[in-house]
Amino acid sequence: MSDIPSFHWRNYAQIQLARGDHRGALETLRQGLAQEPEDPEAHALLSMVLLSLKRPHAAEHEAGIALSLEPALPLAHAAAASVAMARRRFKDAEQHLTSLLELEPDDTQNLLLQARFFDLTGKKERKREVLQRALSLKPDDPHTLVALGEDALERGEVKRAEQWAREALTALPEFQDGLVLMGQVYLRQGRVEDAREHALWALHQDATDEGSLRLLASIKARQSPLLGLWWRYAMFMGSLGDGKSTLVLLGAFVAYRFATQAAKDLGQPNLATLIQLVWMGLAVYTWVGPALFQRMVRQELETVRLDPRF
Amino acid sequence: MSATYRIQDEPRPGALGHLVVNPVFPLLAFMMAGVWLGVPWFIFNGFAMGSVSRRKETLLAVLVVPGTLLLFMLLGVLMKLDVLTKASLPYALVGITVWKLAVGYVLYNLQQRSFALHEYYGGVVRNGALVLVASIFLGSRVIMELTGGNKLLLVLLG
Repeated sequence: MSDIPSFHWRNYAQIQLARGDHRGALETLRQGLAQEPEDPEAHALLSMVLLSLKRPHAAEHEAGIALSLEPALPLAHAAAASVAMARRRFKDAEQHLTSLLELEPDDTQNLLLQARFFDLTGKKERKREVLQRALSLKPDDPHTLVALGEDALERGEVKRAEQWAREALTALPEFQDGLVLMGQVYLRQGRVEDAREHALWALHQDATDEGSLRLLASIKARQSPLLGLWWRYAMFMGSLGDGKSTLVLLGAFVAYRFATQAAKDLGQPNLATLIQLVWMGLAVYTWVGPALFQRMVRQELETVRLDPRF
Repeated sequence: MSATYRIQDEPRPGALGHLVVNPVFPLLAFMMAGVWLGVPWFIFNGFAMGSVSRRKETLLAVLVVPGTLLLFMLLGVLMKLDVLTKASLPYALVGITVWKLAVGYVLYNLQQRSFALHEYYGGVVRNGALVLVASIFLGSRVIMELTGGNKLLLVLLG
């Protein structure tokens, strides 16, 4: 690694990242940075990799290093904005997006990042304006087409979403995000088997892709109502983050204890026992549910034939 | 120049790195056996795995007992002022359990991040089930020995 120029290992890491080999990209960057610790692009790229590996604290640290080494590096601002969005620090995200778009106003990837920001902050109209601008700049960009399809799906316009998905797959056949979108469309239309096929097709290219796995999990949740309940609960808790989900759990615990005590105070010992049993049942269900659900998804994944390039 | 670049959130296990357990065990010990076992186990585990947040974890863990004492005193004052009655006291006491649970959850969430990386990079992970099961069966005897049956100490360490 010591004799290889930095742009080579950076490019290699980018290829690994594009192929879904996040851990490989991380190791490449780690080794590269051991030789060239002051490479701002590598730090920014590492930040992106860490974020995709759900390590936002370290990702934030790396984006900070990249910006301190080169304050006008677009990739560093993109990384910092992505991290800030993941950590729901929208003021910081907005500042980095402003800097990013000042540096590269016509880059569709940057516009898509801004669209995601507007989506997360509930500014749906602004989001659509940005997506339309990205489309006008690059009408065949599959990422933009998928983002438009996801937006249509969110609004309940399933037919329109299907059109966007088809356009994305025409622009780039076997585009993973396009396949996932098409799978979501089919799932919404009740065509579960078609949705499953698309999820497996997408996973064929990158078995670690979050969107594809989420689609497959949604399909499994649809097929098993009992485990589907756990999936929806897990999605809800996951969307809250550590802090809020802890508050929700503690709130539920307080409600349970109050209800038990109230039943006892009202002279209803049987009701108190019933509440305790329900609570115990919920505890067991949320303990066992993830393992059963994972096993179900894993069994399905065993049927996936991986692309040799993955 | 170092052979590899160290990423900020990666744990640095020390000499006791072979005694690391999944933080779910200290959390369960916290819930089932009590603070007397959960707090020292969390602190030990954090240092053994070289958790990046071990100082924060330790600070939080040592706050459990004084925090419980403070809540206990507050309830006593509210009883004296007749704000709380004998009927409403059991509801207020839930607050003490919630406080302990909240600290346990936060400690678990903090330590889990470092543990996931410790495990991913091939760090040794011991099974904490034996200690947990032993604490469930012997815990009440241990805590009676530790507190001498003193009610305040039972609330603080239980």
